[in-house]
Amino acid sequence: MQDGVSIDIRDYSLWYGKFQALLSVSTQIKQGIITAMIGPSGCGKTTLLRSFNRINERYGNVSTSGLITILGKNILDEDVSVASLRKRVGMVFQRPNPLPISIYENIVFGIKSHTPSRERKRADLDAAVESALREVSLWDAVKDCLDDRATELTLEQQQKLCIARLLPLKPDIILMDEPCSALDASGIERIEELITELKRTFTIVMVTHNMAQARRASDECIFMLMGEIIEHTRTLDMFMNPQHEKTAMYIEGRYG
Amino acid sequence: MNQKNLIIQAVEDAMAAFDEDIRRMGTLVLENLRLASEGLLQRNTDLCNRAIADDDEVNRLEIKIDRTGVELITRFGPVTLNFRRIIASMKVSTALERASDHAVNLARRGRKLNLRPPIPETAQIKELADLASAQLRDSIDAYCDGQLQNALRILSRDTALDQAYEAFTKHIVSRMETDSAHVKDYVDLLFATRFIERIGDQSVNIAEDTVYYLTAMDIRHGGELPGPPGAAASSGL
Repeated sequence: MQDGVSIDIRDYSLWYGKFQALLSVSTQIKQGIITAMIGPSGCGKTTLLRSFNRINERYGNVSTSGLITILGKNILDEDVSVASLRKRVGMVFQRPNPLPISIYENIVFGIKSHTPSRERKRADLDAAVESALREVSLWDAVKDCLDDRATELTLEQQQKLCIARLLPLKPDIILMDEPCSALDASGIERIEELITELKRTFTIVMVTHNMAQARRASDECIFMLMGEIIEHTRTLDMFMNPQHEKTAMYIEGRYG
Repeated sequence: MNQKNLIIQAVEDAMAAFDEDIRRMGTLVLENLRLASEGLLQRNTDLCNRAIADDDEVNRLEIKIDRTGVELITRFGPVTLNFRRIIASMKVSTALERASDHAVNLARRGRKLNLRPPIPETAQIKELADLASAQLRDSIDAYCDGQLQNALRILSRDTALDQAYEAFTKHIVSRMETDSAHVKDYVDLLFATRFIERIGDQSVNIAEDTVYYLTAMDIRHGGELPGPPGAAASSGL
């Protein structure tokens, strides 16, 4: 795989039962930038995003063909451990989904799942919790109530927590499925600010229905339609001078 | 909201960089005008050549400002004050680029005049060049500092420059009638002053763009002027 490429997708198709949701898509997602995936409902953007950590497989009737190479390894190979894949490729969902346990336990849950108990020390866990919460600018707000239930936080704080709990696992890629759609305007701004800061360390792939968010918050943009990638280019180029009429029609709001 | 607001902050940062480019461009144009007029007044062709060479940087900045402006509009879809500020910045950069072209043309006339024996009327260009230079400097400051009243003052100041230019033209035409041996010099001087006068016109354009940016009012070509301070500043939002 080329340098600077984080996810290499080659002739990848996906079926839900007999319905083909992705039609032999190929592209390369670059490392250390924010890539937004846009397109009308049902275009396959969420399906493609969920393929990057194989979370689609939960549906049971999913079959695939093609290659998705992450860190030099085809993640569709049978010998790939889904647990370790998801450690490297974290995911943030549309609605914040903290576990109904304490803030502290939400952060250490991932560490505990991925490291044997004899290697874990309380001090290390405390340090990891503080560092992760600081990274998402949540530490000052919650440092005195780490034992409170995470579900009592505001939605914006819950979403920050969901991002924070990925960080101790040191993922390479963070997938975000409409991470701001449950938030109000100021929450959106702060999550976008956070995403922009995170891209220094991680590759971020984000599905969004919000075109304004795609253009202000992403570096590259993938436009999908009916299971195909129509255009993948620099966000500014896509919104200033799209190469395909279908892209132009979508971003001009003529359908979608 | 106490917390840093990224979207607004990103626009503000980009705007500050924008203003810096405009200021830098303005400084370069003023310097080019100084080099061109000094080159003519001191019969120093090296200064004229520098004014001509330094125009490249101005052209480069014009392109950079336009590109940044389009990117900002594409990325952030700004509205109201920031939108007008971006549009105005792009127009101000065009005005500055034209002003720099006029300075280059002035320098070229200077080089021609410097090849022939001096004539006393050349010294009179200093007054016009000083007026145009001060006017341009103040229009750039008014834009960068968002000073509506200072921008409005440029409009009346340009009338004074125009009158000085017309008086000088009349004088030169009368000299041409009596001193036909120096007609070539007089023609070059007429062109030289014409370029200076046009730099004044560009400073008016910058002032008009400033008024538009601050108040959303288009005062070009006899458009209605903004009302007293306070009323005007709020009307644009």
